[in-house]
Amino acid sequence: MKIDADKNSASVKATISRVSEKSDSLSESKTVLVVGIGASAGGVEALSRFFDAMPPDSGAAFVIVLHLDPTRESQMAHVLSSHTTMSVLQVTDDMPIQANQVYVIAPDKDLTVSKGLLQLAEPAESRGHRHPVDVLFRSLAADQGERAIAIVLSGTGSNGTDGLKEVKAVGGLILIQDPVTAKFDGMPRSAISSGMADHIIAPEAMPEILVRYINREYIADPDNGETAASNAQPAIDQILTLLFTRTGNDFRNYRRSTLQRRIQRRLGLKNIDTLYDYMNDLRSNADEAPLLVKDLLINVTSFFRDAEAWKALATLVVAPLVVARETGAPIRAWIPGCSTGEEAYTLAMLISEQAVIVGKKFDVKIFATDARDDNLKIARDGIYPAAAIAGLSATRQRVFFDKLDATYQVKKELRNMVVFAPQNLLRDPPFSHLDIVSCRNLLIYLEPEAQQSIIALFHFSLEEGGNLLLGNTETLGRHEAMFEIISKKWRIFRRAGPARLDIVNFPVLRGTAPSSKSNDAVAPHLTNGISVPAADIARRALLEHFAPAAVLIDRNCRVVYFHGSTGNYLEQPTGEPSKDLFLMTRDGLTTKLRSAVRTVIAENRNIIISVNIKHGSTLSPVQVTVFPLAAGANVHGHVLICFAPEAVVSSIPNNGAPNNLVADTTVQDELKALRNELQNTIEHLETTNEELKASNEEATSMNEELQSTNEELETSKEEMQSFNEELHTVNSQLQHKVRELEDSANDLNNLLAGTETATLFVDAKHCVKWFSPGTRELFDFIVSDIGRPLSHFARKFQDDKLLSDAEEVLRSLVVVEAEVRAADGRWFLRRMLPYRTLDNHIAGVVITFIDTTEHKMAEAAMRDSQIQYEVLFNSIDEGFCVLEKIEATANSPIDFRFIEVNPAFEKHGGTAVVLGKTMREVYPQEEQNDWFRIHDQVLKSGIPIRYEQSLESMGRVLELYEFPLNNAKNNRLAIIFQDITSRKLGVASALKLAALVASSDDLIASIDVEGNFTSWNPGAERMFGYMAEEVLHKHSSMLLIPGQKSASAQLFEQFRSGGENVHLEIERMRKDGIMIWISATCSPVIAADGKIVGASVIARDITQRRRAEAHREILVGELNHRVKNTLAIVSAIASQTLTGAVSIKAASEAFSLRLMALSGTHDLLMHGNWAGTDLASIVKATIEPHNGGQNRFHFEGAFVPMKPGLAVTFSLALHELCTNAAKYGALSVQEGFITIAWHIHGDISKARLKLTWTESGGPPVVAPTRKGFGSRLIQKALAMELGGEVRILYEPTGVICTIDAPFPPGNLKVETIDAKLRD
Amino acid sequence: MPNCETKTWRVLIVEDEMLLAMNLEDMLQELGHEVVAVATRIPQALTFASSSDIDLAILDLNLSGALSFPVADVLRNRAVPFLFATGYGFQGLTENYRSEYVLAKPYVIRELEKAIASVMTDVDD
Repeated sequence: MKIDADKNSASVKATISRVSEKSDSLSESKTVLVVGIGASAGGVEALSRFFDAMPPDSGAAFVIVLHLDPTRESQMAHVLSSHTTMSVLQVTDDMPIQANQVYVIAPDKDLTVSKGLLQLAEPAESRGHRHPVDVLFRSLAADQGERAIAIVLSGTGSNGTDGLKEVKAVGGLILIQDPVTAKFDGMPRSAISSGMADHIIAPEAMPEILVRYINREYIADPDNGETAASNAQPAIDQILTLLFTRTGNDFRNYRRSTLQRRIQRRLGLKNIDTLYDYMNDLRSNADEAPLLVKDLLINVTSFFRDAEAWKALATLVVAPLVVARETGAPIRAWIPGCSTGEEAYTLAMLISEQAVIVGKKFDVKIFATDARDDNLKIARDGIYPAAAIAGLSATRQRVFFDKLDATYQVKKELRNMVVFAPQNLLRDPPFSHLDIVSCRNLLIYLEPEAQQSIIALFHFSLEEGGNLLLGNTETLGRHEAMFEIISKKWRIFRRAGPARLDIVNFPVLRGTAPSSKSNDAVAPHLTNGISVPAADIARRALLEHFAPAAVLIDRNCRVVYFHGSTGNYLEQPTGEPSKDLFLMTRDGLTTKLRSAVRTVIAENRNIIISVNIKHGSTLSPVQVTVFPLAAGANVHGHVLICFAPEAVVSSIPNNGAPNNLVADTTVQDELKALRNELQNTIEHLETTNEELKASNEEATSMNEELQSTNEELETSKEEMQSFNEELHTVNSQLQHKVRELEDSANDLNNLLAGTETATLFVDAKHCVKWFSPGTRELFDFIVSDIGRPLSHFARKFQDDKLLSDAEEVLRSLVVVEAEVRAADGRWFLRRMLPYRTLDNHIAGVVITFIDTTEHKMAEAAMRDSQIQYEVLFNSIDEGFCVLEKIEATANSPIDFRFIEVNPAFEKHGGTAVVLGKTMREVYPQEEQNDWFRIHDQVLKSGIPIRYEQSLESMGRVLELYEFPLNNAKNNRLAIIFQDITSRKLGVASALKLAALVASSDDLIASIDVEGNFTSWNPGAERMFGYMAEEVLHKHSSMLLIPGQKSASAQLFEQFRSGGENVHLEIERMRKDGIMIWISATCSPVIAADGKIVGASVIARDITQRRRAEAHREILVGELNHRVKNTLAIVSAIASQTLTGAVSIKAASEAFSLRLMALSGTHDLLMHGNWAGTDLASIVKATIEPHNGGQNRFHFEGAFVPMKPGLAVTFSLALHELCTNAAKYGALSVQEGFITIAWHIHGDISKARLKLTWTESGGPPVVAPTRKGFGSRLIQKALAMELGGEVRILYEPTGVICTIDAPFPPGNLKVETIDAKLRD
Repeated sequence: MPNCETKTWRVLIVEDEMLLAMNLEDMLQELGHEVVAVATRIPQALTFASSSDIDLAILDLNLSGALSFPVADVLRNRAVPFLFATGYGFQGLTENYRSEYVLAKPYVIRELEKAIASVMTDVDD
């Protein structure tokens, strides 16, 4: 890029001289492409995405306009510099534009581009109405022309759209952010809807297109492009021809350079390199041709575009025009190239406004033409986006537009003024008698020749004094002389001088083929008949054979009919064929015939003349009869001339010699005749001469006249063509209207047929005008009945007042309704209303029959339901009321009014008269607020609420169910309520009971008839270890011990047979497997209908009691056992004592003593609860009876525990020793003494008890001779019991008994008792 | 007094009360039988019951709190006749042993003799 080289030098120079800088940047601006970017809300993100993708060396300069906060310093430049390596600058005034730089607008300024400089200005509009993007784009279009590049990014509103039109007009590139990718799509959508976009894409995709576009030859270097283009002329021609054949648009008269650039632009947009490639694309791609045409037919227009020009037009042209013109007169204008109609409507507005000012009305007709049908359609509809009319004053918006949703439509009056028609200025005939022609910015696209011919055309079209308005840059060229300049600045011209048909290259009339009608005079209707009667045939044959040759002439002596062979008398001279008789007559005939004819015409009589006709050298005498024909239908003043050859007798050779006198006389006569003839001829000639002179005069003036007539006709013809064109236009409008009418007629028909409403139109005389198909159910109509009086038709319904009502409607113009009943029982609502035409004329009556049968039935059903509702309302036991909300106002808070109250209201609500009162009047303050909140909530949410409310003022508790009635205003709700005060009390006692059940240690549960648990209290949980949820709804058999059978079935059996409280003691199993005994009381649960629905169970854990009982039983058994055992022992002692007894007395004494010893031990064991006792205690107890109150015993030893059995044996054994000692040993004398000592030997594991019984002081001891019970008891039983050894030594000093047994005693070793017993 | 046809039986006594055992021993000797062993505890009794050459066993039901049924089972297995001598009487027996002979304490020698005769009759057959 060469710009880069210039960049440094330019900035250096800028510091030196402002002037040189300007000129420098001016030249530079030719090469630096300026990309204008407009953005608003969401723009920062879009810009970031754009610059992230934009290469820094594209060679273009980027000028960004954003909506910035006017009160704050912008950080935009800083933000953007993180997204591009190009330097980003905030614009200052007169800043030169350089390539590869980014310029950001300063806050609160308008930024424009001019001659390579960026210029800042104070915004013209107030804040909020500014369109700084439009300002930038406009200046870009003006400064850069087709090299302008405009980008619209995210934003709200329509800022930029107007400016884009300018850019589009000069052929610049327009990129618009795809609204889908934009955060705010207002600006992109507005721009897209204007149809200006070349590309609609995401910001990040824009740089690729930009770079490609920038690098194209004609953009990078336009001059070079131009020259290159001239080489491509043939290709351009081919493209234009292609366009003409494809689309019918002829651009061959358009300015080449413009065409060139526009086509190149398409190449750029399509990324096609050569024109030939493009042409191929054009051929193969059906979409391209219309797009190219669209680009070539630039339609940039808006309401009051160039407002100043319009102002000038208004004051200089329209105002004088309306002043001069009479009211009601036509004003005609033509807008060629009207595009989407804004300009045409603008002119219409101007004229209307001016007309209103002068208080006149005109027949305004504005012809607006364009080559593009799609534009015309838009124009005809006259619907424009809000943005399009934003520039208009509020008054104009209001007066001239109707608002439709988001768009505006031009009012019908204005639309009626404008006639839109397709027309090609270069091809089609123009309009004529115009007051104003406005053709702005159209000529600039055309070649100069075409421009000139169009200017001439306008000159023709305009009335004398009519005005022509051209675009800013357009001139009249060489036709300047034909116009008077009204305003040079605004290019307003006035036609001067007459129409110059010579210079108008009038376009050929298109459309219909030239008329086939010939204007030539039609020959008299004497053609050969084809079917003629026989008489005619005969007559004709006779005529042909016998009638003389004849010729019929008119008064001007022109031959109209030849009959027979006239060749002998007449011949056509050389030259053009002529009908003039006297040019045809042969020599000799002319003179006489002429005077004869003249005489015949003058005197209206027959003349017969004789003439000699020369045939070469011979003279043939011919008698010529000339006679006038009676005037008839087709002939007037015709003269028939018959030729009859005379007899040769009178021929010259025959009457030559014989009689000179006769000959002389004949000559004399002939001479005389000739002289007369001559005299006549001379006179006639003189007259003729005079006549000819006059004729000449006349012809000359006639010629003059014809000349002017001709000119007039020419003009008329052109006017006719114009008129024709106009008619075409009107016709197409009318056809359009007719189609619309057809559509609306169809719509109406379908509507009427579809509504099933029988509709009938009758005229003022009650004759049927139209009826819908549905009417046939009520009248016997057929199509041909239209026009017959309604009274002629039989009705299928009962209606006596049909005709009188119709009369009434016509008279009073009010709607009359009646209900009529059809023969088949259906009901109809008969409505009659006046039939009004559009001009509000009453043309009859519209009668509709609406089937109301269902309605009637519904009404009846409604009545029924109303009655039902009332019955329900009055008879329900619950209180019921309907409330209506009274909205809060400044002086009264929100309230609700009772609209309906049922009889039960008082019973539950406690208040008698509330109907019509408000809640604030009825209830105390503190109770209202809750209610108002709930009511409001119900109304707002639409969800019913059930709640309880305590009315302390009345000591009541109410249960209320509140629901919205969903009426239209949504301000009504209904409440059904009940006094539940007593129920509440019941609930309280139930709660107490529940607390009791919950706190009881007893099981309190219930089962249903199936045996499933239905309740389970905490006591039960503790008793069985099962939680309520584990048990509920499960069968009571879950508590059974395996093998047990469920008792529930049997229980209910008992209930049914009259049992009330059933007591059970049963064993059951806890959750942890432990079995427990329970004592249960079961009672039936009886429902209101007397049916048993379950059972309640109260149970107590009696396991402890059962255990105690079992223990007691065991104790009793044990006691029994012991008693039996003791008795057995006593029995044994008795048996043993008695066995060896010497005397009854001794035996008795011994037995008593032994029993006493036993008893003593039992005492001892009793005290120790039969758990055992100790050795010392046994010794002490046993020796006590033998002590005799003295200290005869000494005992000592360690603590040795003794089990009961061992204790008994030990005690008995000790007793035996004592008895023995008392009988024979130490106790038998006073001094005798016994020592009992014991101790424990050895360590714990092998401990042994050693006890020694030592007697002393007694008589000498001798061993007994036989072994009694005592020694057996001691030595055998005790030894066995102790598991040890017991020895008795009969020492002389006394008995010594030693015991050596394991310690603790009682754990006997297994030994054969045999051996011991034998010892 | 032993009958002439009365045989001499070898008898095991299981009894924890030594006086009773002694008395029973005397009675058996009087009836002409031979006391093979006196067991005062279950383990001891089991040993005798399973290994001694005995014709008959007389079992106290409750030996210091332990029931003597295991001993009875061993005897049953060996087809040795036995009888229970117990203060509990018939009621003290569990289901299994209801069919056995029970000598209720206290008893006299005739009862003992009759009991032995009854138990041993079956053996003779």
